[in-house]
Amino acid sequence: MAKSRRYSSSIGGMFRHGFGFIATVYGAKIVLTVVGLLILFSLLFPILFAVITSIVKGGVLVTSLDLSKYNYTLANYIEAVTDEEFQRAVVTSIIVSILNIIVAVVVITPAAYAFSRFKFWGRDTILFSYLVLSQVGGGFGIAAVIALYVFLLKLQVMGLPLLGNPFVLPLIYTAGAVPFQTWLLKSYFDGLPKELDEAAFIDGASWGQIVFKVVLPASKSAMVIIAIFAFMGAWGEFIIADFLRVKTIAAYLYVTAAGQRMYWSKFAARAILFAIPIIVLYGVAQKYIGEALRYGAAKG
Amino acid sequence: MALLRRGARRVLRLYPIKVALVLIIPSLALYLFFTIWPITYSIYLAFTNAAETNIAPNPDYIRDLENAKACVYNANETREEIQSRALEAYESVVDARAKLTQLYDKLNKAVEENRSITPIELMGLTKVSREAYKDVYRAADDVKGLFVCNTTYAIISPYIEGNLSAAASRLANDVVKPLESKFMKPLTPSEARGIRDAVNDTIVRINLTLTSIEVIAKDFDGFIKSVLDSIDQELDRLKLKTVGLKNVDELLHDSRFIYSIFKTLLFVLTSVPLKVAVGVALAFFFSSELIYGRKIMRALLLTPWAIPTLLSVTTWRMLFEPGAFLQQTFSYLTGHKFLILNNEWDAFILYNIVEMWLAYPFIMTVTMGAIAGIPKEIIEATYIDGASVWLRFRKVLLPQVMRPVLFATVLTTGASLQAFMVPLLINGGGPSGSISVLGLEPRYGNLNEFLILYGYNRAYIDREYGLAAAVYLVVVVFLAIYVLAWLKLTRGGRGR
Repeated sequence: MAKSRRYSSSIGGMFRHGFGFIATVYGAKIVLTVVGLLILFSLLFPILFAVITSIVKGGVLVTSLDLSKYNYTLANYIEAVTDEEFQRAVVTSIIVSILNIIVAVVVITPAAYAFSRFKFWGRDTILFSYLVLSQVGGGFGIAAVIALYVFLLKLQVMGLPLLGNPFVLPLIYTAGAVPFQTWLLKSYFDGLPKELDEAAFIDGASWGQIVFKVVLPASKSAMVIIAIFAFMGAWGEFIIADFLRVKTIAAYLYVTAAGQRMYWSKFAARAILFAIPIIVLYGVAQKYIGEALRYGAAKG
Repeated sequence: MALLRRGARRVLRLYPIKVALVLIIPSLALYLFFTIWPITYSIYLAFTNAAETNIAPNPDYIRDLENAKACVYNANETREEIQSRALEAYESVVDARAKLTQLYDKLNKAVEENRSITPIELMGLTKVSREAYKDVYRAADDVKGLFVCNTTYAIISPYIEGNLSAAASRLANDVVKPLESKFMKPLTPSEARGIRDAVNDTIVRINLTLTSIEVIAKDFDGFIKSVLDSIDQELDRLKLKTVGLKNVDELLHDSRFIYSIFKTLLFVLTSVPLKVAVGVALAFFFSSELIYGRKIMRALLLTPWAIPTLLSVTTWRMLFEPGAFLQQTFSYLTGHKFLILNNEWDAFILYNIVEMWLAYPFIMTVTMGAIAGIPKEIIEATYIDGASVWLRFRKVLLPQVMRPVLFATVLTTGASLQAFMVPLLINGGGPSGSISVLGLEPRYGNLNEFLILYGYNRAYIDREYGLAAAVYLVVVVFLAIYVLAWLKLTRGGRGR
């Protein structure tokens, strides 16, 4: 923060020197602020448009910027929350997301702790592979989904009810997030003091004690980070869910969006309801998003 | 030296490897099973003919086919009896056909000359029809239970029998009975017409059976072989088997795939400069101290990150629906009707815009971090030297942010190379049209199917899993090149 302030004043100085005299600075400030607001407005325009579409009466397509000529209503939202299919999809998504949080926290926290504290054979190789694989996740991800589908279909014929089963999804989601989340948490643990754990080991604590008295207390906030990412991942994912025939809210919206005829107002209301939890959590997890993108875990 | 070594040993004792393994194994196992194993399996699938039919065929259906095969073998055991009965039936049918043809000719002549048939003539005709009926009936009886194997490829006997029985009853009801009822009375041309048509119908029906009976009677071996071949072919279709490089070969000769590679690379070339330029420009612009409230604006500019793609990309699609605000604006700007569902390049332009919109927060954040890291002294030095704004930007600021921006560019290139969500949610990679490249056979397909989407659609729409896996095998080659470039540019991937 301090750094950025220092720099900004330099840029200001740069312009001051460039324009030469103070009087024009206020003019320049106003012009640049207006330009900035215009840029902001145009870049955020789609979001505004989605919100307006969702509350326009009669499900018409918003074609004009003159917003006073439309009538507004919350009917689309009310219709969405009272739609049984929508409700079912939301419940499925909640189940999948909560299970995903549990699996991710239980599985990744200890691993990240081990990668941070322990030196063992293959450690660096695994970490490096994670880094590389997380970069090409998109391409490999879908190849893996297709192969997984083929594999699950075979098991299905043998009598295991795996397709359309929401309980399979958390395992797949967590597995896919292992590289990125391990790195994220490892960096977090790297920042924690080692003394406490070392003391426990020196005192000859048992494994149970080490896990419950040392590892878990030290990972509380790490678990929160993982939980947030696990929730966002499971809530927003739709390709795998759709392929494996699980109707999560995201998969439900995807199938609707893929249809030829779209009822935009209806769809926008549902998509916004779907997006709200993610937007809220984004606000909470904002400072980790940059890190997430560095490992290619999010879009962009 | 000795002290150091003891220290290292102490660390090992502090963090026993066994504990590390226990902590890591669950995540590693999950990762191996749900990510590495499917990828490995996918490599295998790329060399198979995996499709919806053969991954998980219905076991009942396969059992039926196997049973039919056994049944055909059994029938082969009693071939003498079958053949002699078939021969009898064949001769009866040929006789019947000769009689029916004769009957037809006489009736037809009467109809065409528009004259009534005299009672004397009628007696002859009735006799012929009765005999024909007897022949057909006898033939139907002969083939009853002749060859009953319950498969679509060998339901010979029920089929022949059914046709012959139908012919017999048609003959009895619509030919013999009306003729007999006309005893001692003339037959009018219109009555003759109805009977003639019934005779014709019967001839058609027995002709249908004739070849089958003939094959059984005269070329039994050929018949058995053809049935077995058909069953084997069907069983083969239901079997997942390796086909070597057939899938890859098919892809490399498929104009749609070649075009998809071209489109993907083109998209990398257009979208990467666009999003990097916009991201860097925004970072510099919103770093200016001359903007009021720039911190809030910067935070708000990161909104695309917070919105799930499912909402944001479909909203972009909504903005370009015919008649929607941006569709009108773009139609005005480009001078033609801007339709992403109809025009290949209109959709391509929109992909670039959306990709830019999704990725600029990343580039912007990285660039702003770099700008914040520039030492104040360097910039102040440029004022003393009296450099112009442009020169300062180009020679001082830009080189300072070059490395981080390059790093971010490489990462975002990976994203463009694997672009999937954007074309999928905008219009599924459409519109479709005829594609012909490099002198390959023209194919009809989606014009904007980028590589990853191409594989997805082959699996999701066509249900050709082997082919889709092969697509990703080719994609892996591209990704490997990309990863090598990434590692080289960022010196081991840790960047900055």
